[in-house]
Amino acid sequence: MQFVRRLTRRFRVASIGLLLLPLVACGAPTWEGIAIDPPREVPSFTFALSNGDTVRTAPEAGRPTMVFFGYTHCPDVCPLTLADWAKIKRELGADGARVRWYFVTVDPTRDTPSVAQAYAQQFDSAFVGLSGDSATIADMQRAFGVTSYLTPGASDTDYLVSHSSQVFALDEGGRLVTMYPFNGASSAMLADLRQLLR
Amino acid sequence: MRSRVRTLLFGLAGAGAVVLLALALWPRPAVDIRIPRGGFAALHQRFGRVVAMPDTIVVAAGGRPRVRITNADTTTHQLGLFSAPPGQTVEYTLPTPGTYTGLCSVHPTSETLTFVVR
Repeated sequence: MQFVRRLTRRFRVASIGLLLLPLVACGAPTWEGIAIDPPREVPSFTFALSNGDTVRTAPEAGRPTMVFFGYTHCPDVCPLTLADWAKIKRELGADGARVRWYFVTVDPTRDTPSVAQAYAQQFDSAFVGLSGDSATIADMQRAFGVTSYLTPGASDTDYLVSHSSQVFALDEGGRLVTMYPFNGASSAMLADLRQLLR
Repeated sequence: MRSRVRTLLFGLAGAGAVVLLALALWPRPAVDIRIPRGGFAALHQRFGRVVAMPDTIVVAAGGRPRVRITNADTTTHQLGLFSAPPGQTVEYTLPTPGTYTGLCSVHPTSETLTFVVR
């Protein structure tokens, strides 16, 4: 009968455990953006800047990262997104400098490292415009789940690039935790960045 | 002896009830997309119903609806705004009612997949 008692006790413990599980799940952070569960580890990438420096997107303690893929000839999504970033950074005040802001081109043919960097810095001097070889950019796009393709125009250099328009937020550990669809997500980005900077 | 058996039966019934309750109350994703190895993404609905991916998926806004993508394939799949690396299950929680559109590798004609939360 010892066995029966032990069995009953185990059932009781298991039942309590089952009831507590949802409470444990509720302890996860709540994002204003689209939460990604489980947070995705993304590899680090290295880009050369026009001044000879290199930028490595490896995680840095205490510094969350925002990533957006676009191109400098973009007529709508990219300038609006970077303008949103500039506004958010201003609203964060001094904490805005702790965030790493990466604009990664999906059009490396036209956007050389200097073009990408100059474009990003038009919006804020802390923004980093990244360009490199097509293979590195394709790898990074794949890691983030970003699609892009060219829409031919009047000439070889006059074309549009359709591209995924979401902004990605990574925590200080380099894990992709949340993302934002284009337009109307600036208040969500601001709230989540405040949480990431805590 | 009889009371011990009764205790055991009550214990078993109680544990069974707790398990059933937990299963019933455990939050399910609003959208369940599964990608088999080497196959196409499909929408899995209740009671084992499987349908081809539509261009637009309408989700009832209750709490924060979740989109679950289970990718058993060997390559990353892009489903609108959402992607799933090979061999992984990823859940995306949609925070607010609205339209979430993104480029899609499943829809070569329309090129996009839209989730409408309302």
